[in-house]
Amino acid sequence: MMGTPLLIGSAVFTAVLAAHVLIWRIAKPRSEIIALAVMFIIAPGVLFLAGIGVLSNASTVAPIDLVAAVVLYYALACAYIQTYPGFNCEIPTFKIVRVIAASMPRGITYEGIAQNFDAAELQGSRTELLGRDGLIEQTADGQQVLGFKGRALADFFIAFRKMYGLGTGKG
Amino acid sequence: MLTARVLVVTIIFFMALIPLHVGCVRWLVHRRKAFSHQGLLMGLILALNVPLLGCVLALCGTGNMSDLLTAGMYAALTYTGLAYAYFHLFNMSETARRIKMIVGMRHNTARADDTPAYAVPDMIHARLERLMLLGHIERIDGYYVLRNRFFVRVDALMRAWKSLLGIGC
Repeated sequence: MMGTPLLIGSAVFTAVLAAHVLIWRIAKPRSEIIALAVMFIIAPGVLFLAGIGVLSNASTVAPIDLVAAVVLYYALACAYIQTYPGFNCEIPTFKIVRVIAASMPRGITYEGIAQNFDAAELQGSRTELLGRDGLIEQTADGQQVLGFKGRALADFFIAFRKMYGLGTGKG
Repeated sequence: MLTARVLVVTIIFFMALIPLHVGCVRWLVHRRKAFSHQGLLMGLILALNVPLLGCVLALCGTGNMSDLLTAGMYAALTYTGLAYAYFHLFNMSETARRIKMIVGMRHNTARADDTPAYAVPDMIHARLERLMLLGHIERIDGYYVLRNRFFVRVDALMRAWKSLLGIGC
């Protein structure tokens, strides 16, 4: 009985993931956030809505099965989209773990780990990405300041951390 | 109807995770306990799978084995997917340099390229501390040693996926 939503939800997710790999290999979109939202959220949403419309006139799949498939699909899609930013840049925690793993069995000192990090490289790549995603913008005198999207996102995370009684994350 | 019941139970478990997590963090912060924020949330996510599967088993009580298996897989996959997305949101608020940068800019209107919060030593110390709290590394006589290869494997998987996507950095 639950095989249908399990099959539909995971099959649609696999198909979208395959399309994502194909598109990224052919021509990686400039604004990845928008491209991912269209591919993983909007396009499948339209597909599912059309599916519900078609199925309301047919009896092949029960509407509740399709609703359950939609929930499963979006659970998987949200998990993937949240993981995606990690593919775009070097994750410092993983780099640290890699450096320590390479130094085993003796281990490595703090200075040894720090040698592998370059401040300009880390900050430069993030500043570039912030600009590309429209979170920061350049003023007339060349300064980089938060844009509307950046301010909204910052306010969201400030409120989010307050809910747990926590201060700003250590980054 | 089984599908509707399993779906509702799965969503209820996901919705319950958030206040449970908020409550646990607030309680531990109030008690001034040192704990791994990520470890706590991961533990809660995994632990809630047990009562969730128990509920699914109760719902499928009179059904056949195939129903039980597919319902269990559906509930576990959907709940874990949603919970994993929530984990990333929380983790992002904790570890994302981009978020720290824009929150820093919001607080002190600093420019993107001179946010002091971005000092490399702080960034490394924060991560070493988190890894030690998680029990993945240990510091012995000034040397950091690996205690758990989980992140090494995740890193290898992510690099393989990056290479499949054609992303190089």
